[in-house]
Amino acid sequence: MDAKAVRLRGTTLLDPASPVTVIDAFVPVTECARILAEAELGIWIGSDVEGEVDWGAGGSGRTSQSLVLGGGFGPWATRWLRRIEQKLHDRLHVDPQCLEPWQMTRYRRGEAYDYHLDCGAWKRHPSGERARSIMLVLEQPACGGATHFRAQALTIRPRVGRLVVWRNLLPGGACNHAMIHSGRPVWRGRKTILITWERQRRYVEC
Amino acid sequence: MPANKDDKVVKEIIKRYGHTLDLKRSPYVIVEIIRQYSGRVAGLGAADCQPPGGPPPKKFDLGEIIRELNVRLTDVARLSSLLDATMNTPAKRATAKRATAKRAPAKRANAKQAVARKAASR
Repeated sequence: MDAKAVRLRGTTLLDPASPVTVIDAFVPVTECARILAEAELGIWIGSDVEGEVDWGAGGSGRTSQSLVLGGGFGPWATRWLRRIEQKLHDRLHVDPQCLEPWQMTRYRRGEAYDYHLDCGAWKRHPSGERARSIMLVLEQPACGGATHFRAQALTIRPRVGRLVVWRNLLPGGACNHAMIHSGRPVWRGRKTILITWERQRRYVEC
Repeated sequence: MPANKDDKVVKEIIKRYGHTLDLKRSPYVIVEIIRQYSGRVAGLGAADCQPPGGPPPKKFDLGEIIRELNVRLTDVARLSSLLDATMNTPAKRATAKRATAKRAPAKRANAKQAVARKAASR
């Protein structure tokens, strides 16, 4: 096993066997800018973390901000998101019915998200665990902001229009702790992403 | 990300315990590896923090907005103080001008004395 960190620079890595899939230019830059404009309609608040997990996870370790849109995304953005979901279905067999509502999150200078797993808090949820994480980069920072999968020795830099999808669960449905990852600090500029998660079953809000 | 440090550890483990680790066959090998190497690997342990939360609220919470506003106002006040300390404000310029005006007659007197001393020394 080669543990050397692989830094992806504008490449496309589409390997069904890999737990992490990267597709560059999944969305054109112009559309990323347009969806970013949705932020004008809402306010940014400190990003939330989920409550209890099975292992001894400590504090929140998250200093990003999430967009609150009273009433949801605007009409163009709503249609655009449905097209993205269709694209995800066509290329990666993502089930749109199992997706959580999209969240827009931004990391300003110095902000980060410490090492964590995206699963482990939804055993009793009717929709089940977060089987896959789906992240779309809307705005890339000048420096920093990579997503680091430390147990995979994989560093993925944020590039506008880049889609990153990864599996969180083992074949049996348990959390795959080898998918531990971190949003590394942004040193210059700002990183803004759209993120959602595909659950094991149809998503219902509770 | 200390990739080089981890590289060395991984190479050593592979060398000692083989290219594949079969936990079904030899489950306690992993305990041995942890025992041997835990001190050398940075950041070992479970995920440090909790998973990202669910969707943000659909309605604006007034309390949340006010909290965020207060944080921003504090930031603005702090930045404002920092700027005041560094900027060349009109008030500061006026103060500096007054100080210069006070010093000017003394400066002229000193210059005259210097000229006189020079003339005397020739």
